[in-house]
Amino acid sequence: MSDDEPKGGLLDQNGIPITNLPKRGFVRRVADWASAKSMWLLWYCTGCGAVELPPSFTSRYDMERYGIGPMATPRQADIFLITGYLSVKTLKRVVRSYEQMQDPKYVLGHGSCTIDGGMYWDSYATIKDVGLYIPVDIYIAGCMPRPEAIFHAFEKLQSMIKAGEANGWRRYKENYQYYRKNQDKVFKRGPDWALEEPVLK
Amino acid sequence: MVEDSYDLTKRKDERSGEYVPEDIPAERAADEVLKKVPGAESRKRKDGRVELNVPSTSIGSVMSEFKRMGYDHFVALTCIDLIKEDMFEMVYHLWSYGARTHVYVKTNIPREDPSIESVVEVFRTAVTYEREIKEMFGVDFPGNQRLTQFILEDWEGPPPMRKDFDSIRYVQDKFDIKVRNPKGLPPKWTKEGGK
Repeated sequence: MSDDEPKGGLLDQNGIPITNLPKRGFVRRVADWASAKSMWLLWYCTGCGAVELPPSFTSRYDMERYGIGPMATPRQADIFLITGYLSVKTLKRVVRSYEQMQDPKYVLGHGSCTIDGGMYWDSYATIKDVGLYIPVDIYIAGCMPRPEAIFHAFEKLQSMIKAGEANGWRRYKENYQYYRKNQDKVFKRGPDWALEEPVLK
Repeated sequence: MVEDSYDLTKRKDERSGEYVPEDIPAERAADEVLKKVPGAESRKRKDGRVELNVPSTSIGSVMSEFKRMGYDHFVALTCIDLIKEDMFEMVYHLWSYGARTHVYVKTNIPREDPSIESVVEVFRTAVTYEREIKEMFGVDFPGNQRLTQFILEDWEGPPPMRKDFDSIRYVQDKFDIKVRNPKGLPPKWTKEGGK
């Protein structure tokens, strides 16, 4: 990682550096080092990005080399890969899935649709920036990103986890009011989905 | 299945030996409807495809007439926003499996407070199409009992498929469009050189 690349996870949504990075003890550092090499991937295939994932899973590119494997449920997954545009309706399910995931959890935004809406920039139905609603650790640019780009993101994510920088899940709890305000602007939470404000332990 | 009490000529089916309604091609079927519905016009678009313009009040009877003549596949219902003429154009596509011909029935309704009789009584499959058009264009269908929320969840704006729906303004109000995190980018990545 060269010096002029932005260090993801060190700035919050408004460009303010997050200063209260947790001090990691020796055990935590070892655990981070280990968990960076063993992660389950939940791929939330909302858009056309899903077609890039079968080659990533299978023998052509072989995700298992990095210790990453597909997982079916959010509660057992570590990485949340959002592949493509999200309609407002889908965002509701994404946030719900994200809140079910265990800490620490990492979000990858895959494709330009997750960054600024992409080719759906003026659509009434799709949200423009996933990072306003859930914290995104790494964005993968491209329409579509090739599997090489996905693997670049995996390598980056691993190095961020080892350095203790992939703290999107921490940002979600620290800035919950900010995310909740943005979420309430586009969808309503039903009575069956009354989440208490998450507590950072 | 078409009932026996119909006054149409019937032919004997060679395989089953039963008497089934005669397959009526689109042009003849349209002529039959023209006799019964005042103010209707028909136009042949190509072989096996006839367009029919009818008054909006008679849409239910036109649909049941066509169904009686074997046009029992309700293909689609679409709505077109003719904003210059201040009209909504409703298009009902029908298909006859026997004659293998296509009829589409067009009717115009005013754009102000749009409402048209539901054809659910004739074609049950129209329920979903009418729900969608109610949501996307705001057209009301008296007689349809199921005009509830369909695709758009938590929608508060005007019907989005209308031509006068300003999509960009809606997007600007609803979703924050801004350059994300410009201070986090190194100078060579931004147009203004990092400023």
